[in-house]
Amino acid sequence: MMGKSEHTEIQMVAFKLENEEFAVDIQQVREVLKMTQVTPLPQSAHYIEGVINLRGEVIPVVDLRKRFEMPLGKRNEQTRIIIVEIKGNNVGLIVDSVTEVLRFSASAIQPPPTRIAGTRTDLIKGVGKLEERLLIILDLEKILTTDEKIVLDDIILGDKVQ
Amino acid sequence: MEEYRDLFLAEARDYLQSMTDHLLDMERDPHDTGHLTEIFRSAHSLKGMAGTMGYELISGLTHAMETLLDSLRSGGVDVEREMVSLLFEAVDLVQIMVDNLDNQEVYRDDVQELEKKLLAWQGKGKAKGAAASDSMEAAPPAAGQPGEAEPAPALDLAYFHETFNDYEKEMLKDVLDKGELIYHIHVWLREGSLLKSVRAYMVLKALEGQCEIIKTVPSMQELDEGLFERDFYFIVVGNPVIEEIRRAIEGIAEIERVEIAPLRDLVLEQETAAVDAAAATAAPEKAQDRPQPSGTEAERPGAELPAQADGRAEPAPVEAKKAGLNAQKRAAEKTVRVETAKLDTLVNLVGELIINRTRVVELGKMAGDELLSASLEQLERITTDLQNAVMTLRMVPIKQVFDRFPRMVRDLSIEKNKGVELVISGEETELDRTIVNQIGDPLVHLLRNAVDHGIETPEERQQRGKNPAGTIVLEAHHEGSHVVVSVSDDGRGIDPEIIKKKALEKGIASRDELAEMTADELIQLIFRSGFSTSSVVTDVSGRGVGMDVVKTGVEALNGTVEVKSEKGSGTHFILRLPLTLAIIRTLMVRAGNEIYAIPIEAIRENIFVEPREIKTINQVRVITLREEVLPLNSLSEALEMGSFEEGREVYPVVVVKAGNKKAGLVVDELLGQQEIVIKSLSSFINEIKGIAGATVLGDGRVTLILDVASLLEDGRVSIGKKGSYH
Repeated sequence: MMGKSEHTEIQMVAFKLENEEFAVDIQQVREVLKMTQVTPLPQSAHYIEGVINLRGEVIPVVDLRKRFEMPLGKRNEQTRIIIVEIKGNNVGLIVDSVTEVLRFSASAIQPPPTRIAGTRTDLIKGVGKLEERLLIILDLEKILTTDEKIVLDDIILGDKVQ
Repeated sequence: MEEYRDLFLAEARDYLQSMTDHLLDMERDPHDTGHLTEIFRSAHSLKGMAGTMGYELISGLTHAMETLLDSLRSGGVDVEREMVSLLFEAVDLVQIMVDNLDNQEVYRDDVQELEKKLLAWQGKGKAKGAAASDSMEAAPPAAGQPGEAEPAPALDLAYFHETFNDYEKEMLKDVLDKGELIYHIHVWLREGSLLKSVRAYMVLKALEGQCEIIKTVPSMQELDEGLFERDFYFIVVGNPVIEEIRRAIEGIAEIERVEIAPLRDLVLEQETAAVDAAAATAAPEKAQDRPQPSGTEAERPGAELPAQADGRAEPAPVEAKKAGLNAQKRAAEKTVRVETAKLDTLVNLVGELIINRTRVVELGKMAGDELLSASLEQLERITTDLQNAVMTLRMVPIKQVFDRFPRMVRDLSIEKNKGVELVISGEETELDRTIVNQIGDPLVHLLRNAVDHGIETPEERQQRGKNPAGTIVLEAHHEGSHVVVSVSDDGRGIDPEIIKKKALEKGIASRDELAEMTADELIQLIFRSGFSTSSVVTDVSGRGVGMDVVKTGVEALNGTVEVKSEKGSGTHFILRLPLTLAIIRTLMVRAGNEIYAIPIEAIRENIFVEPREIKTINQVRVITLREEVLPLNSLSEALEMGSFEEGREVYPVVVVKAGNKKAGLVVDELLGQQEIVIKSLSSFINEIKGIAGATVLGDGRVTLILDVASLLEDGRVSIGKKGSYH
């Protein structure tokens, strides 16, 4: 998606964990649900919250806060499950809130900075800049298919990016 | 062409299967020429289809097969095992190419080599019986059909023009272009035959499946009504085996005589004649000296019949053709090939419907409205019927799996120098497609074992006073909501003493444990992993994988496997499989905050246990149930979702069993039985031990289905067996 021309607009679904803003390509998002009842799965990775029923399909749900080893937040009215498609599978992501759908021109997206000490730039696809906001575009496939431990500090760049 | 590919694949597989079946039959009974005819027909059809599709390698190879088969038919070559093996080799190669249509070229060398071998064999036969096979090689198979000894009646152009209208002439030309043949078949009934229409019908019926009837004289309708003198004739196209047709027709009562003549040359002649304008005038002249097909001139109503046909020339031929076509196609139209994905969608939708019905019915009960209840009951009945109907769509006969075994057993028994007869019965037994697809491997294993270890060598058998050829019986039948598949042999059986020794050697059980076991219990040890009874490792069986593979495979299908054996007289394996995998009956239980579904199949009984009955041995909670020690496990604990709750007044316990392992699962509440639709967990999640899948309940909640076998296997659950525990 980075290789497109200057004029291409890319739509992103923006969401929040704690105070960090993230984004995923809208093409990857199937839908956004309110928090629903999750059936816990025994003996699975700690960040797998369980499974939900999406119109008859049983879909695993990942708590992104747990994935990034963040303190557990309170589930509330804002909590959402973003259903994304990863390698042909639907997977739900529990996030604090979904803020909006944003349009980025291709030029507003920068590739991940290559060398910043202590960051895992391989887990992000890029950084979207929108006025004063910086949104981290996650490489969900990598994040969800590796068993490695990932902590939030690995991926947030905060003010390290200009 | 691409859209015909699937059709080609499907049909090619049918033909290959037919060839395999009949090759086996032919080998067994070389004198029954029917098998040869079938093989020939399949090879020929396959050649034609492959030719049409442009698969020259397949058509070339099948042609070579056909040539050899033809020599067989003419008696130039005898049926020998090596030759059958060669034909099998060819069938295999065609199969491989059919499976890899896009890469056929890879096999060009193999094909050429095999073609050479096939032709060499045929050549051998020619040398042996030069005279007999003389007519075979030069002529195309059809023109040289054996058994065409009688001189064909010389039908001429006049006859041709009288019989066929322009449309039909065109059609005949097309037929020849396609490589099919045209025959004129003339049938005379006996004098005074009473049931003329019935005889005519039987004649036409006898041709069904052999060739296509494109025209009858008199018309089909007149034949039906018996409106003819003593004879009638019809034109057929296709690649029939003439001798067989003749025999079939002659076999019908009250048939006096049959004459069959090819029309190929006549059609070709007519074609050239049509170009030549002079032919138009020549034809009537020739009509004078038209030779009759036989000596019985008077009986052949040369003048009347064509006239009759002419009178109805327009409607009759088309009718006749249609009727012929319909008769042919009727059989095919009984079934429809449907993509399995579509079936799965349908089954899933019905599953959803059932779930929602359950919910609606529940709500209806709460409302307490009588009218509503009545209509809901109706709805319940209809949906249940619908569910059953849809389930049968997924059912396929187990024949699909059984079909490949005769060949496999034959090859194996040759390889092992053993005489083995495989008897198959109940192959029409139907069960779920998924199960049929997965039952193959366990059965292959059992059959291989039977040939390799079960059946003794012919000498050994003779010494023991048995028939030198062993028998393996593969059988399937329904039993309630199960299908039972059994594999039995009359071989040497399993010796419990040898099992005992092996088990000790491999550390599968201790000496003390073994001493306590009955012969039957010892035999069951063959299902333990790491157990292989043969001291010699062969490539047939005993490649380090043992019967445990069979057991795992069958259990993965929610089935069970049992073995019975008597030393010296044989071994009997019994596989019990569910009819369907999509919907199962379960007991819903609550453990902690979660609800789990336990397949009824795995449940022995439910009991309520009071704390005073529970003892602790080696830190394992146990109770004594009918003089058996039964370990208790908290389900929550086993799934690592909670811990055993002390201090309750009574504990509901579900006694589950898998194989010979048993355990009590302590739950918090028994919620009742329910039919559920199994949904697989996303492939995103790794396999979870103890969980077989999930289902969606009426209220939309997802509930996990326990996999009792893997739960008991895993070691997290204390299990008990008869009279012991660990």
